[in-house]
Amino acid sequence: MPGKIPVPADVDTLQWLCRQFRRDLLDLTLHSGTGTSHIGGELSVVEILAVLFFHALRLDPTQPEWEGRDRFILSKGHASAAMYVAMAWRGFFPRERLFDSFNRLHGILQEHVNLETPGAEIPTGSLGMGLSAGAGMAWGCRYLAEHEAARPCGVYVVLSDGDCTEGQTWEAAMAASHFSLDNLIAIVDDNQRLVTGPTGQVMRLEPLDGKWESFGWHVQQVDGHDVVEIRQAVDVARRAETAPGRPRVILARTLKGKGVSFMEGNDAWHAGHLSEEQHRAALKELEG
Amino acid sequence: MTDTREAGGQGSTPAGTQVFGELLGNRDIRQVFGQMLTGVGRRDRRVVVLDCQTAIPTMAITFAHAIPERFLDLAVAEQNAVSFAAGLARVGFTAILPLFACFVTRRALDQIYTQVAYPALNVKVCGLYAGLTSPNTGATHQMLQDVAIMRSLPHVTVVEPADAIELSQALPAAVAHHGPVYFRMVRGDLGGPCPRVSPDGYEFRIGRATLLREGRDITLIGSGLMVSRCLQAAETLAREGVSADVINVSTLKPLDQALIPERARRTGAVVTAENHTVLGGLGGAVAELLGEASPVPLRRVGVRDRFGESAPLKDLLPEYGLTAEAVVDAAHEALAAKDRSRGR
Repeated sequence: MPGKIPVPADVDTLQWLCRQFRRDLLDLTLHSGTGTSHIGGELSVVEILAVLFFHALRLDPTQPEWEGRDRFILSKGHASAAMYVAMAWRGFFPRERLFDSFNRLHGILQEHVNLETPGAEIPTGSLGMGLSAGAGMAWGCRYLAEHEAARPCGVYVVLSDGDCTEGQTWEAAMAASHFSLDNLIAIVDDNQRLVTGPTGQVMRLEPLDGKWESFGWHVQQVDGHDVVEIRQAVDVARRAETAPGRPRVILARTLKGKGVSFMEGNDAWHAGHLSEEQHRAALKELEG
Repeated sequence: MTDTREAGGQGSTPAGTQVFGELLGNRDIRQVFGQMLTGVGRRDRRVVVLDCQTAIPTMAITFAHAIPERFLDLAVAEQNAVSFAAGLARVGFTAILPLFACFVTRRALDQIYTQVAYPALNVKVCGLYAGLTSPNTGATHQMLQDVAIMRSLPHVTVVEPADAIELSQALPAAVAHHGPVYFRMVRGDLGGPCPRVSPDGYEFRIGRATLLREGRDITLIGSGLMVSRCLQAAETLAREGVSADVINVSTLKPLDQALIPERARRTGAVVTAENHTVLGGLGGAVAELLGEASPVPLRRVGVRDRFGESAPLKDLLPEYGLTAEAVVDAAHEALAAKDRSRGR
């Protein structure tokens, strides 16, 4: 039941949660006020969000603005629905909101997150802005810990491969490294596909690890659908002694549309309308 | 301060700004800006200044020397700087970005829109060297559209002080105001483009325009460096027997919805004057307001849908129509239109 799951959750629970998240994302898309969501990139980021919200992030859903909280930014704002699902299960708001508020007039869940959503840190949606905002938060939290004895906070930013084609992301990567923001953890949901095709064809990002390393970041690579690998990498990243003075990035190799065969790696499902028939077929696969 | 008195300012420095009296007499209002920035930083330990390699010309460097631990040089990366500032604001800081108007409002507009204006975060975007007052850099640096852009964004307050006295009050007011502010300023060291216009005892308040001179025949409405030109124009008009109001609109948004229509109704003719394109800035804002509230003949003085160029400011201002003479000419046109409309 949402809000009642012990945190940190064990591996079985994390995997179970991922199945619930995917099912809720299909339902949310069906009930979306506009009939649509960015389902492909939502399904690719599910395991990352499960580990963050049910293992890594220190939060109090009953006090979303608690000053000592870890900060979370979904830079790939088009997948906000996936964050909403994780937040609902974590207890930030009733799960019913996923199905009656998304893309609806005066709803608290916009296609791209804004501050109307309890627990949201900053609007995103125009790609490339999340890491900069996260760097600002990481600098600010470190300053407050050093000068005002505030609780040290971690700042987690989830980026897409599309975020990595935005110049601003690299401005932020440079600044975070220069300011030694080792409380900043970026996770790249590298689902290998931009809107019109594979990143390798549209705009080559490789070597992505080499790029981050050359900017001074501590780099790890994981299977982005394996909660054990993600959890382990996050644990390494959040230990101060891992790489003192260096921001951390986890490159998570994922599959766009993960879990629904007709969506997996299919560019038609970057964003889209889900018919009732497709919804039934997709649910059946998840339950299968 | 001779030119100041000619422009209408009288007497001594107002109480409350006396601490800056020495600086207020300086022709370079950038020094006042640097000093005020440092002052607000000293009073509030949650004030952070972010720079993009313009701290020397803007004199934000004064803050950097005084409070280095809260000064962040983000190098030449304005988009990162704006989002970074939004992140700082979201964890409890007041983030001030004293950058060149052109780079912050053009290059980083998407960041201002998405992460500052939309969430109404406590970020003060300062656009310096605004309008034509970046003379030696030319069109790429002369920001003539920033008021039009920034006043169209919900949640954003837009302020442009007309002289050092107003600056010394408006900057602390902008910092104290919770939410996004666009603070526009000229480059102040070029032949004193902003002589004193504020009267004794002047008190700046966000949203309030100031009637600097009261007349009967026409209302001259200026912002920034054009306020002093409006005062000069009023003197010229007075010698012709025309009695002119002069209003300083230092808050371009929210526009003073009381004073402007009231004076327009009283005089029946209006001229606006700004260091900005006539499209969508002060002239646009006043035309929108009066078009609905109190339509009267109106003429707009400002840059007429052109790009700027690099040349001495003394040549640029007349070429682009930013002079007292241009205000007088516009006043003649507006007065003629008023006469025609009244069948005279």
